[in-house]
Amino acid sequence: MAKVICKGTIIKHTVSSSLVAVAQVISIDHSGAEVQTFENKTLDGGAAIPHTPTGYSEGGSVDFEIFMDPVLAGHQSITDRVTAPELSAADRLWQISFADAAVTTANFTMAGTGYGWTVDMDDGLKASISLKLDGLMTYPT
Amino acid sequence: MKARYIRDDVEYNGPPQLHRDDTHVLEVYRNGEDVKIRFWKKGAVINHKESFRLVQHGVCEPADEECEKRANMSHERIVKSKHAYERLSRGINSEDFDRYDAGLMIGYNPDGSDIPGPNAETFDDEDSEDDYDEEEE
Repeated sequence: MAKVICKGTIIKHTVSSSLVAVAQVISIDHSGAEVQTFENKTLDGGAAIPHTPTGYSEGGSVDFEIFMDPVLAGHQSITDRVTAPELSAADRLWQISFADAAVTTANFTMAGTGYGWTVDMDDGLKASISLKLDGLMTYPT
Repeated sequence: MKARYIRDDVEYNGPPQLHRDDTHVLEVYRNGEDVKIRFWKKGAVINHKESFRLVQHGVCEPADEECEKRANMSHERIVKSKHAYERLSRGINSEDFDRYDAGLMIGYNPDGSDIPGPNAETFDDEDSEDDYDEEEE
């Protein structure tokens, strides 16, 4: 049991069959992974609303924020994925390496990339990236 | 468009049958166990339409004129990018860039403390000297 620090966590993406790290990342957020269920209440059922798993699971998304440098190759490689979205599964692989003693990694294949940036006079230039997962993340087991 | 790898820790992500001679399988500690991962060999040449991006990332150098033109980087910038990627691959926080560049630390332990760099001892010695002076005074 350990409280793992976030400093030193790395997110990598695939460029030319190579996993390379993205620079100036501020935060990484994975959400939306869940087992799909359906509501199966019936007229002759009880007061509680029952749910049953369909047998499928949603992979969710990985969103992360960066201090955006428009001329940095690592950041341009991400926007390349928006302008040219037709990629092989291998080229859509991403990897997160946690800063824990076990050197835990979580790989995932993204289906598509979302990208946006914010100019705020009280802040640095930031971009938000959203990666819709194709399938599930490989969670450590 | 060709680029040559200048690092040996870039993980290969492609069909194992391709680039068999340009990659090698190394045993690394990951997810709490020793696992075999395929990496590009330092010096291997990749021929890919996006290989200029690897040069710009700091993990390759141009291996043909087309890549050199597309990467559009001076030798000095390639060297700087290589250094920046080395730092990035170690997960160094921007607040610690100066200390990393000075060789005082090369990364973080799981508890967030520094992994000492080659000059950390020198720094400690200077500290000790200060302590000694203070004691003398």
